[in-house]
Amino acid sequence: MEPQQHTAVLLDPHPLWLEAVQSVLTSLDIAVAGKATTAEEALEIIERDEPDIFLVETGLTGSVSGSSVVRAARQRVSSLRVIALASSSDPADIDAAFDAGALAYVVKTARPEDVAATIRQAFDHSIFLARVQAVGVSPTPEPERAVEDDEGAALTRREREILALVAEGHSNRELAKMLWVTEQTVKFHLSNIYRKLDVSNRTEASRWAHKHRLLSSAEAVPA
Amino acid sequence: MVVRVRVLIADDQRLFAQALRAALFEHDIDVVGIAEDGAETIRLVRELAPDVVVLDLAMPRATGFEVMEAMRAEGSRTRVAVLTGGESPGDRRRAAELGATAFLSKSQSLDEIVESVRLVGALSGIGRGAALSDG
Repeated sequence: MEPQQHTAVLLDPHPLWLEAVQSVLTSLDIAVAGKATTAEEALEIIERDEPDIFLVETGLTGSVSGSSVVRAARQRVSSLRVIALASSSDPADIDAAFDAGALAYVVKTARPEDVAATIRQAFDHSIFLARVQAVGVSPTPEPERAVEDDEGAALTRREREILALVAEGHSNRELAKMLWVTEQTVKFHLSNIYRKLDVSNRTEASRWAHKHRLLSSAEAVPA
Repeated sequence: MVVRVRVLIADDQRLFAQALRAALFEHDIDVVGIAEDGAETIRLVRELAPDVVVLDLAMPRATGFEVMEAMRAEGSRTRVAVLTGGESPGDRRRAAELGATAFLSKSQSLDEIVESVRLVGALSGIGRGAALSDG
């Protein structure tokens, strides 16, 4: 049986960059599920198509930061491999992308073959680099893990995230805005959470979250 | 006879430059060279005398503005189409003062960029009169 073809979603405000990256992906036999010039479009495609890889310009201008897009994307598809392909080589920007869950950070001045190699490595890791920090690059902090609990193991990552935010007192409307989804989607997740935890309302669900010290995604770095 | 516009791309983002070259080629515009920094751009403008240089502003070894200053000092007849990813206040005015014919943003659509380059190339032909019509 033929192995399933990998799929990718691209986000860059510059349309020609999307074409450029697509040509690299095509050469690697990776299908492009969608191309977007705005974060909203990209997240919609990711939610719908659940791609394997997300290539994103993290130096986005406007109301949404690149890091928050990376986080939001990984919250939608926990297995998503994110590669930042960005103009900035500022260590702070690189650190921010890694903290948000990016697997690799490629500066846009990189040679096309290096961009291709990075994408290939995201699927087939065969190059390992020494833990030597580049000049001016601060060490990457160890990721903080969300609390694991056997009782809550049935909850998906998304449900845990929503439950943690509910426990912090956020309304459904606020949750929808924070997570880039509709209120209807929030309600759908909440009903699944209630069922899995065998509780009947958000107060009881919040109590469960506090009892089990569930962290919100703002504190927990995606694994 | 149809005269193809000859373009030099000056951009240190290699992948972007290659994609632009492919797009221009598809629209019958010849890319005679790609320069990856400002100093190389000045040299290739001098050597290749393209009709148009599509010029990024943020490049190592001489910015786009420094390239335009050098071209002006040498009396280059190559027209400049600035193509930038991040515009700072005053960039457009400064580019115009240095003789740029067009100021384009990388956020523009591919078609817009290609058409603008073609238009700048056509203006170059008008500027050179008979030389171009003879092919």
